Amino acid sequence: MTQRFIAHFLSSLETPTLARRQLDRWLPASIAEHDRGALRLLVSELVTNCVRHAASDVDRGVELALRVDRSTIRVEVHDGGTGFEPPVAPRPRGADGGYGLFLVERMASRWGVDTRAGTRVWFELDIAGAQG
Amino acid sequence: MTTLDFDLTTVPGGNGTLRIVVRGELDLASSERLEAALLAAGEHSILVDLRGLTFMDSTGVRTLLQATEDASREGRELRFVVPTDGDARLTLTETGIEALLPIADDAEPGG
Repeated sequence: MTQRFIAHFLSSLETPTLARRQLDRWLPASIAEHDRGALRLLVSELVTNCVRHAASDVDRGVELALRVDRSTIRVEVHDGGTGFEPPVAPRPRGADGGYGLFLVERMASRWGVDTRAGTRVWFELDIAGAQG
Repeated sequence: MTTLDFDLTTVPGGNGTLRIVVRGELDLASSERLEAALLAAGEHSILVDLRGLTFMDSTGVRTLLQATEDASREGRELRFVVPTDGDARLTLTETGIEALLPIADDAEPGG
């Protein structure tokens, strides 16, 4: 059985916090704490990217979508922005940033960006027995 | 109403060192408070105790690295006490930034 969740947030400095709270409420209890930690971190990174890129447009929102399958969790974060092309192999650049997508690249099983309508960044995390 | 879980206190330590103790979640909503506290510490030597962090993402990482660069450039002493478990530990491990941070090797109790 597949479970799907979706939520919308106004873009603000607290949006990453709110998105993590929402994620915690959605995730089935069967998800291991290590996976929950990874999901919290990667959701926070993608939502933070959204908020940073949307800083000039206060009306723009952030959409967070979650799909929980037996062996995979998929997260999508979408803004109404015009999109940006991420580096193919993100590398951290010290205090200048760059750790967000570096973490996604490192910790997610797979990820990508769809810029056909705004920017939709997604990742999947393979898990062991999400729904028992 | 806020959902943010973050708390920061600055307390005098020994030998003119200021001790900045943070707990909760270090992210986009809270990093500016840590930046402000570091700025307010001025010329003091600073020990930042991160053991109470329950979460940290790359925005927090960037704040720690920027503080390290600033202190190095200005010749001020800055050291960190880092968490040993939980989400903030996961972020330190996955980014590998611990090698770039001045880590205190004589952590005092409490926090």
